[in-house]
Amino acid sequence: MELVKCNNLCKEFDQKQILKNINLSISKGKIIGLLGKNGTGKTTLIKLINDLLTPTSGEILINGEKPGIHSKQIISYLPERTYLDKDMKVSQVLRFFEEFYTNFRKEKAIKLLKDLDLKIDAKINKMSKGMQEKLQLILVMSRDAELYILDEPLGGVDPATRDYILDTILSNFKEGASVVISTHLISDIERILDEVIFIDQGEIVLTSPADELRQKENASIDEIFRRCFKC
Amino acid sequence: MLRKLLKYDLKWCYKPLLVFYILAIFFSIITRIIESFEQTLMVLIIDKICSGIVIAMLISILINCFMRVWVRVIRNIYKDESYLTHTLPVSKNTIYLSKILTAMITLLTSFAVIIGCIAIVFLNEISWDGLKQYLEQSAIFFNSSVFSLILVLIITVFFEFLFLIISGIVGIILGYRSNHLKTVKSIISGFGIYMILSTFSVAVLYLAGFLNPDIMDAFQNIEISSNAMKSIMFAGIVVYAVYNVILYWIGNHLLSKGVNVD
Repeated sequence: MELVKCNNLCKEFDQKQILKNINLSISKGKIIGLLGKNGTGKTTLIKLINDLLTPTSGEILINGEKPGIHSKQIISYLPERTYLDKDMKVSQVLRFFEEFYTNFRKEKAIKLLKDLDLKIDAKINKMSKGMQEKLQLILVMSRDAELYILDEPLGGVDPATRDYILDTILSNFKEGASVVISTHLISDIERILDEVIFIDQGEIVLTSPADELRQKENASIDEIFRRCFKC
Repeated sequence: MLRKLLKYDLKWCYKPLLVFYILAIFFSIITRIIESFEQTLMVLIIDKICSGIVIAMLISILINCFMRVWVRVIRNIYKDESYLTHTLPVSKNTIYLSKILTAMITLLTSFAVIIGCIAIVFLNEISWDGLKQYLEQSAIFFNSSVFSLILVLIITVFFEFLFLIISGIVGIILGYRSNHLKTVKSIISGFGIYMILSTFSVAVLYLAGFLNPDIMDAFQNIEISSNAMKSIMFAGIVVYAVYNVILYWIGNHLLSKGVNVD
């Protein structure tokens, strides 16, 4: 059974179609790049999978069930914005995650915090946006989830830190789990991808294993993407 | 999960409320102490200032009690924090119930603090005797005990204020279903629900007056009988309880259909 399955998924805002008939399957144990230019529907698709938006039509199934309590237990989601209560301390956020997610590993989070030089007693509103994003990544990667969905994890990060973040992702996701990374910074992530999904103007234009695509087109994913979208 | 959510909701709402509680109680005690001094012009001025602060604090408690719950609903269900709230392994119904329970609990404690502060400032031997006498007379007038009279009064006011808060919450849910002018639409929806249902309850009461002449008395005379007052009070409790249940159900139903966060 597929981990995520979208059948004829559509999303409209003000009669404008943001997603058009998305049919998609995400299987277990893969790292998938959801690639597309800005404003092509990547975040909308991710928000639909995470039950943050309601589909206009079509359906999403996660492990064969509609998004709900079960799907939220197995999906670990990193949004593109900071979502933590700014009045909390890092230690309080850890406790919060520990209380709500049975698959949250606090020791792992503390270790990652130390690695990234983040203080456990720091207040979130005293942290820079970059530090908050790192903290969120730690929280997300400290869960033993079956699917990690990372929306623009490299968005506001300097090139030097990007590699560190990618390594953190690679070395911390649960074995056998899948990772969906949405980004437009393809060259940075293409080395880790098993599969790619190209999305443009609300439609999936290409789905392929990354190596197969590289061999077939005799080019890197980044080049294929640029060619495909005429950048 | 409800208990955990409730814990965080209450913590968030009580943070500023506790400050107001402490300030209100502190200034109530100060006012009481000052009133025990010999009354000179300066003491009188300080007394008036302290009394003013107490009244301001009590109003702030009430306003903050409403606003904190509404802001919590907006932030937690529709703004940035909703990215965490809606990805917790908790149903939307539980999230909603937690907000309603938070509203009820903060309202109750705010009532207790307000009554307590008023008692600290104004209750002395003379006023206590006066109040006791007034309550006993009222109880005789209503043909009930003092305890049940106070209980009915508290329940009526509590349900009325709860109705106001839940109207606001349902207004927010309705307003945030659209894609534009969400705040404006939330205010209009919440205010609209409150006004329409309040007007409706007066209309229902008027219609009930045709069946019960005691109730019709309230629409036709300035002075009404104890029976009419009693009927109106009990009708008020029933009507507000029904409104609260209906509004709770509507909000729950709308939210369980799904959200579209910003």
